[in-house]
Amino acid sequence: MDYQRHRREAMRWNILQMLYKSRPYTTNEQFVLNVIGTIYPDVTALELRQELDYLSDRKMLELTRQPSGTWFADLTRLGVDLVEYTVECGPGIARPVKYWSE
Amino acid sequence: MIIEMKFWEVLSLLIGFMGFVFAAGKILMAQVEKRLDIRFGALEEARKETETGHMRMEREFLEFKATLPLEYVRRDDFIRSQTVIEAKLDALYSRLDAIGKQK
Repeated sequence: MDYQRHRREAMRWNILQMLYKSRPYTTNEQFVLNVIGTIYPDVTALELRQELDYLSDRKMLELTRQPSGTWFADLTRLGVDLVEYTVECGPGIARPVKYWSE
Repeated sequence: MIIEMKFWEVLSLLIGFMGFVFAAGKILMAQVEKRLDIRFGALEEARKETETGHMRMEREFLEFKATLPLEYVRRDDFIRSQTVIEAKLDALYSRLDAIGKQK
């Protein structure tokens, strides 16, 4: 698996994980960038927006694009189910197999 | 009926009447003042109680502010550290998985 693909797919999973923890509140894009920046120090705002847009297209999160330019993200039902391992993941998101038991 | 009075009698009567009015006025004023004193005393008492309550509340709030960072974690900090830890665990798992598949 090439690096770029692995990077964006893992980043999508990390974004979902983070938004899952932020529930039930809507999260500012800046905060998401801050957290993802801790995992990937070289992440750019554009890269993050691309991944947010991808997840929004897959209906896993709801994006609120404010006229001021800030984006806000909130997980949808599908996104929550995905993080909770209730639904199948499908390609595009590097969700690891469930290697733990609850 | 004709009452005849001398000037000194009229004068003493007048002075007596005025003395009575003055004394009555003084008693009345003293009573009013006493009631006002009671009322102001009660108000002062209430003010002191309120002030004590405010001071107590302020003190409790300052104590709360002092213990806040010791007892609580900011929501943002929790999300950040937890997400990073889970990302590390996932990365570790995928690394171990890859090593396991190599063997």
